[in-house]
Order: sequence, then C-alpha cells, then structure tokens
Amino acid sequence: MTIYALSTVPGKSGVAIIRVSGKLAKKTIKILTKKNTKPRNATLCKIYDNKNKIIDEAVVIYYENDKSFTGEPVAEFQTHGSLSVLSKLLDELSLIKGLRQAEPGEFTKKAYLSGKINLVQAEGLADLIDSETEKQREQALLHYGSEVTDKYLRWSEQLKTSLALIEASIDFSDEDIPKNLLRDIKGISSKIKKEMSKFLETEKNAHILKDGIKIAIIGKTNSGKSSLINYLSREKISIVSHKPGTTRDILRSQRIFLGIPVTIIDTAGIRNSQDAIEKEGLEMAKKEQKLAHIKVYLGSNNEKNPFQGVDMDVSDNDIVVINKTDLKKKHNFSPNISISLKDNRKVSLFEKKLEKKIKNIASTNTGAFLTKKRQKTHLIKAIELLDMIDGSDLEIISLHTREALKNIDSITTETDNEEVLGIIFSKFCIGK
Amino acid sequence: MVKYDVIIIGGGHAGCEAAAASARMGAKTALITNKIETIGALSCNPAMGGIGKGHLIREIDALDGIIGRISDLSGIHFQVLNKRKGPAVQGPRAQIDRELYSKHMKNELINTPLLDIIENSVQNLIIKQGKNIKGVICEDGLEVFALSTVLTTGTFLNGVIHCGKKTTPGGRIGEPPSTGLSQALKSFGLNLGRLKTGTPARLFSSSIDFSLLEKQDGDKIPETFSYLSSEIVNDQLPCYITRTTKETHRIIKKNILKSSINYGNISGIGPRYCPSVEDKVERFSDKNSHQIFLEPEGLNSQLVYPNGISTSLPEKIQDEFIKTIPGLENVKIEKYGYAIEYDYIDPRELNHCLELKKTKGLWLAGQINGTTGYEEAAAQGLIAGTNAASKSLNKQKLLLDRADGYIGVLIDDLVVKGVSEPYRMFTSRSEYRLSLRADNADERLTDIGIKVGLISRKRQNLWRKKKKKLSVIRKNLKDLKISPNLANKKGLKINLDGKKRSAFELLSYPEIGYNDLRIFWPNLEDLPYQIEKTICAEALYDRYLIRQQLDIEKFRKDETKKINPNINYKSIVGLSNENKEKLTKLRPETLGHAQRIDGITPAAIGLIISHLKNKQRA
Repeated sequence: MTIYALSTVPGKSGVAIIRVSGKLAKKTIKILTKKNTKPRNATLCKIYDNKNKIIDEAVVIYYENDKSFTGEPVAEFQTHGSLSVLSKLLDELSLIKGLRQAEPGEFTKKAYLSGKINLVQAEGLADLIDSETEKQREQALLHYGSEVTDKYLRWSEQLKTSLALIEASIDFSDEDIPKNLLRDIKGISSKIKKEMSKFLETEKNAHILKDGIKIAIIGKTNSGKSSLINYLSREKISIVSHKPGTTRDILRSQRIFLGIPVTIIDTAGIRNSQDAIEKEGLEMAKKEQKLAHIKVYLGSNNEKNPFQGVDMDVSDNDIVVINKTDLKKKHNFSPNISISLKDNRKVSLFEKKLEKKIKNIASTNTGAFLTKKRQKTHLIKAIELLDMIDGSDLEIISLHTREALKNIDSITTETDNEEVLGIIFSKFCIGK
Repeated sequence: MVKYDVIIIGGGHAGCEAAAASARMGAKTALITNKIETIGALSCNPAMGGIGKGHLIREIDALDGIIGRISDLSGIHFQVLNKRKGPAVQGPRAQIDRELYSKHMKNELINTPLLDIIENSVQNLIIKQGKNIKGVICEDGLEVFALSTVLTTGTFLNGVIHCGKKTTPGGRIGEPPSTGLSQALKSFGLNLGRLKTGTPARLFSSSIDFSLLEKQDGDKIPETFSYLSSEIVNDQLPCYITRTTKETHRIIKKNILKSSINYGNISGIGPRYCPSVEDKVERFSDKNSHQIFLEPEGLNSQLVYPNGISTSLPEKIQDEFIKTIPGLENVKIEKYGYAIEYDYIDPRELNHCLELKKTKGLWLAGQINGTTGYEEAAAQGLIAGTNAASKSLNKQKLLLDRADGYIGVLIDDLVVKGVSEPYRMFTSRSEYRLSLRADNADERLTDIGIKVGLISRKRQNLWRKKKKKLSVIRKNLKDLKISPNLANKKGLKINLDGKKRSAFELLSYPEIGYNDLRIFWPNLEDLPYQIEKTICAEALYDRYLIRQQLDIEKFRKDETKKINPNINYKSIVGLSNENKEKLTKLRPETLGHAQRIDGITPAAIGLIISHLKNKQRA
C-alpha cells in the first residue's frame, strides 16, 4: 500500500509538505505534475487535478528506494500552506487507486520495518518531535542518533561473546579448551550488569528532563512569596496584596532555566487559620514541599522571628532568604541571602544562586539517559537474569545469558510483537 | 525387472539406518551397496556418541533405530562426557571395535525382514516425466524399480583423496567414487558445493610406548546407548592421552606448504570443529601443544587411532612429525592420514522429510547433505528411510521439530539454513536444551514413532511399561511432603518458612540425590537407573522447564503460521534486495522458518507479517 499524509501542521502557513511513501510514489508525481522528476532534485512543478486544472505550484522531490527516510520510494510535495490548496490536493491523492491516508507514525514505522532505523531511534525521533527544551532535544538526539543504540549493541555483542565461551565449555569439554572459562564468563556478565545498572540509574535524570525541576517557595503569610514567584516567572501570576492570606491555593509557574523546565510553586502562607479552604491549602502546601527538588524559605526582615511556625528542613539544595531589606531588621537570623523584592536589591544575585542549584541537580549526570519505560522493563529483566548467574551449572548460566541477550536485543528490534510496535508508533502524529 | 517399495543407495551409517527404518515401516526395501563387506564401516574415528552426538543416538534408539544397539554390542570403552556438568549436557560416548561394529551391523540388516541387500554399483537414476524418480540402473545393467529412492552416498560424489601432492579419485581409501550419480543430480539443477574432511594416520599399537602416557579408563558403571541393551558385552579397554610438542609444531610449520590444501588442490571447506593438525598449528599459533587421544581400534586389532592429528601432509612429513610426540617416538604407521574432498548437495534443496523439492521420489541423507559424523548421518537416514517408506505405502510422514529433539534441530538447520562447513551436532544448537536430554529421548519421541508405525512390538511394550512407571513415580514423589521443621531436624538445612516441600522438590537441591530421600521416607522403592536419572533431571530443572515449555508453545505457534507458497517477495516494498532474493529462492513454509533463515532480520519478518495481513484484508 502506498500511503500519504500532510507532514506539516494543518492550517495556514508559508509552505506545507505532503509526503507520499510506497511503490506508487513516482507514479503519483507523474499523475499530479505530468512530469518525471529527477531523483533527489527539487523541481518546481505545476500540480493538476484530475480535470487538468492547476491546483498550485509546488516544489516536488522524488527519493528512490534506499535514499528515503522510509526505505521506500517517497514523493514530497512542498505546496503553499493554504487550507484550500491542501484540501484539494489531499482529495486528489485520495482519488488515486492504491493510495490511502497514512496512520499516525506510519512513515516512521516503515522506516523501522525497512531497517532504516531501530526502535530506540524511533523512540528518540518521537521525543525529538515533542521536545520543547534544549535539554530534551539533546537527549532525543542521543537516542535518535547512534549513542544509545551503540550502548545496547555493545552489550548484545558482549553477551554473545560470553555465550560463545559458555557453549564452548559445554560442547568441547572433551577437547583442549582453557580451564578458567567460568571465571571469564562471570567476569563479563558482572561487568555488563554494572554498566546496565548504571544506565538504569540515569532514569531519574530523565524524569527531571521531562517533568522538570520543582521549586517550592515556603514561608509565613505575607513574607512576599507571591512577589517572588511573579518576579521569577517574569509575569504577574499571583495577586500581591498586603493582606495576609491572599494566596490560599497553590500557584504554579513554568519557566525554562538553562534549558531545563522549572516549575515554581507558590504555596499558601503559613499561619494559624480556621478558614477551611485555607486549611486545605496548607495541607497541599506541605505535600508540595516534600516533592520539591529545591525549597526556597522566605522570611521577612521586619519580623523578630521570620520563620515562626514554618517546618524548616533545609538541605544542600535549599535556599533560606530574608526579604524586605527595605524595612528595618528585627531578627538575628543569618540567611543564605537577604533581598528586597520591592526595590530589587540583590534579587539578581538570588536568581544566580537559584540557577546554580538547578544546574547542580540537572547536571549530576551527562550523556544519554534512560528515558523510556519499554527500554527500562527489558533492562531490568536483563539485570535480573544476569543476577541469577551463580554457581557453576553452565547450562543454566547459558539459559539466563541467552534470555538476557534476548531482552537487550528486543530493545532495538522487536520482531513480532505487534502490540509493542503499535504503542511506539502511535505516539507519532499523522504524517510522521 | 526387480521391484521394491524403497531403494536405499549406500551402506554407510545413513544407509543402514534408512534401510532398517524403511523395513520397520513395512516397506519392501532394497539396500544397494558397492561392497557388502564395507557395510557399517567406521571410516573415521572408532567411536560413537559424545556431547550432542550421544543425544542423537539416544533419539534414534527411541525411534527404534539400530545404531545404539549395534554400538552397545561393539563398545569397548564407555564413558559419559560432561559428567560433572548438568544432566542436559551429558552425552554418552563409546570407543567402538570396528570389526565388531561392521559384523553386527551386517548381521542386523541380513536378519531384518523385508530388507534385501544387493551388491552392485548404481550408475544412474531412472527418471520419468523429467522429474519423477522411478528407480536405478546399476553398472551391470540391472534395473531396480521403486516409488521411493534414498541416496546416501556419503563422500563418494566426485570424491578425491589428497595426501600431500598426490591426489586420487575415491570415496574412501581404496574405493572408487561415484561420478555418474553426480551428473544425474546436476541435471536436476541442484545446487552442489564442495567440502573436505580428513583423517589421521593409523598406528601399530605394538610400536607405541604407553608407559609414560596418561591412561583414561571408561566409566566404572558403563551406560548403554540403547534402552534395549541390558548390559555391556565386551571387555573394556583404556584410551591414552598424549600431546603434540614444540618440535611437532616446528616440523609442521616448516612443511605447511606441502599440505594438500596449500598446493591449491583442495577447494572444499573443512570443519572448523575438527581441524587438521596443520590447521590447528597455523590458526592457534599461540598454543604450543595440542591434545591427542590414542584410541584402540578394537579388541583384536593391532591398530590405534590418534584422534586430534588428522592431516594431508605428505607421508614422509607425517612420519617425521608423529615421531616427535611422546610415546610415539618409534611408532610404525599402518596407513597414512589423508584429506578427502567431495560434492555435497545444498540441503536447502530438501524439505523437512529430506525429500528433494525439485524432483519426486528422491530422498537424501548423510554426508551428501553436508554433515559430518556417523550419528548425524544415521539420524538423517532414519528420517529419510521412514518418510520414503511412508510415501510408498501411503502412510503418515515422520516430521520432528526443534522442540521434539536434536534430530529435529539437525534437519531444520540443514533445510532452512544450509551449511557452510561440515555440520556437526552440538547441544548449543538447540534452543530447548534443558528439555532435550539424552535421558528422556524415549519420552519425547517413542510415541511419535508408534503413531507413524516405526516402532517394533518389543520396544512398544518396554516403553509403555517405562512410561507408566515414570508417571507413578512422579505422582508419588509429588505427593510425599515434609515440613521444613522436620527436614531441619533430620539434618537438611532449608528455609523455615512453614511451606511443606514435596520429595520431588527436595530433589531439586543439588546436594540431595534420590537415595538421600530415604532419610525422610525410608520405604522409598528402588528405581531403575534410567528412571532415576530422568526424575532427578526433571526436579533439578523444574522451574526452567516450565519457562521452556512456554517458549516451545510460542515457537510452535509460529510454525503453524503458513506463508502462502505463491507469495511474491519482490512486491514487498522495503525488503532489501538480498532478502528478497533469499526468500524467493528458499520459499520458507512458515513464519517460523523465515525467522531462522540467515540474514533475515526481525524487521524483514515484520514486513512479511504486515504483507500477509494486508493480503488477508484485501
């Protein structure tokens, strides 16, 4: 079957691209343009409908079998991004016998099936398309490129080497083979296991990458929490007033710091209150505090006890801040920094400190992270199997090693598990 | 005009087993051989079985074949290999008295009902309508007709013997090759290849000084190959172990260019697993010594077979290097080593019954299909002989898959993957090794054999008794239970988790054997040795066997997914040209087969699956 779809965002745009992949790609160009275009050459063509009327003028590119993304002949029509042109052209395509509209991710699935990319790369490609931050894009590229694939292929090769040693010890035991093979075999698998476990740990970095870093701002009522979040998010998302208890709900603000999505959470101020809604807000605030990667404790300069009633649990990643240095100091507290949000005193310094904390958390690990649950499941299984290698029963060691190998190989290539393939490729949009 | 149901050409290990199987099936069978005298000849080493190979013999025996029984009658040194490893990878092996083997084999075949042995040389096949084989024409003009013909000509197809610079046409030393059949086979448009194998010099045992060599005795309690053999009949002889020396390697290296292969005489590919001594010296140049087994050729034989130094070096050099080996300083050589090169037929030309796909009525078995080894040959002989008879008699086929046994693995590997070097069986070739053990061959295969009509009354009765006994014992051992508390009191350290353990579960502890169970259940009955072995292996592997069973089910499901024989692979877009060509040529019958073809990637399988699905939808 030859498939087609609009590969750019539907709607008005400068240029829109419609892709056709399959045996009939070349014929489709001929039908629509009445021309045979040279492969991999951008050719300006008139596009005709079936009544010989011009639909649009477009740049048409034909890719042969092995030169295209899908591994099949592909035709690309770069038309004007007009709703009417697109709908007319898609109609015309639907009239050509043997063509049908592509399902989500079908182009990528074809690329996988023809061996152009493996599953890790397909997943990376999906992430690349979805990526919003610089870090996400970097990670996605590590998966779409060869970095992560090479890791899995290397483990696969090493497990195969180990298997060869195991099988030699079994099948050639009556012949001249080295004596200490069992030690070598165990050495190899424990080394691979260590590497796998290490990669498994990078998953927490992946969480940060996806969901970002959470910063909770905690303090007594009227300590300036809302002002701080407004400042940090560069917009007014919190109502600021002198009246204590103005913020009863949890307010969130998203911002990208250093390519990492950061969620800043403004919690309800802490005070004794009988107000039911306010009480619930306080409960939620406590929960958020626990989940936060960074806690910013905020107190007022003009109070004798700026953090009275605040449950302080200050770790290395947290910052204790005294606000309102424009007012008279009444406490003996030594914070990490004193600022005034009112006249922006030392506020940018505070921001620098915060960025440093964010950087600390995000950059504990560089390189590729484990970002996919599917890969994680196989990896955990493989580690479990290698963990079971014990004793000296080579036929059992072989069984576990083979099974571990199968799991690692499934990460890059899943043969007949339609369900898994379905899940991976349906994550794409139509046209990819 | 002579008429039979089945003709077997060749009296080697494939031919003998094929003839016996065909006759057991009830087919009137003719075994045609160049020389009755050489029936059952062991042309290479005087041994049967081993790891993988021993499994094959047990399976042939489970299908009522003869190789196991004849080996038991002729064995002079029995040893189970891998005894210190798990039961799944243990393989029975024996040194065989050449003379006795050949004598007992002839005796067996002569006394087989429905089987005639004809001494003649087959010159050509009688072919009707282009591709129907109707029989054979012999050298003296004798025509023999049959609906089915099994060809087991071993290394005799265009065989050439090499020793140094000397080359002589021949199938075995002193016997002419068959060239006429090669021509006939070529006319079918079959894909032929060339392989080589070698054999070492034979030594006079009286000229060997065994006094300083390591002696290796057989097992104290010898294990037979066949369930029908109740005991070992012959006296047992030891083997001796010696090694090549630095001087041996020096001489071989100096003269390596004089080896036949380096004269450019040999183009065939030799087995990687059993290389010639010159190959070993060259390829493993970091090793300065290789092991040699000195194996007795028989009770009354004066000869010794030095296993490990097969060679095609000139005679003078053989004399020189062999004398540098400890114990062989004054050795006298009876016959020099040589290499033999022969045609084989690409086994991918065969279906799983071992019948050629391009003709009708012709089966191939043994070395002609690119294998090496007596056991591999006999296993194919059994399958080809049985199916040839089935076809003539219009009976059910005998098809074994990879989960049934090593025979299934062997045939599937041959017909799906083909060979690039002489194919030898290893346990690592099986995906289901823990299930395919030498001890349970009958449980896996005898009932299948009964169904196709291959099993004699005698064995049927013995097997039914054993089967019943096995099921009773299994149930008993699973019913007997003990609490961990009590077990600990009796000295067995197990987790005090309150969970009762059955006697069967206790057997899975490596330190507990069947006899140890008597500590807890003093009245436990004595078990026949074979049954005890099977039960203990099952207990040991229990949890893995359950997992393996799931794999087997999945595998069998793929085997049922038939691929339309008219599928047009060229029309599958995305499939690489190489894969298209391969699949078009080999035409796998099921998705399972397709997956096992070399170079067919999982992604390619995915494409075939979606192609098949689209066709269904359309």
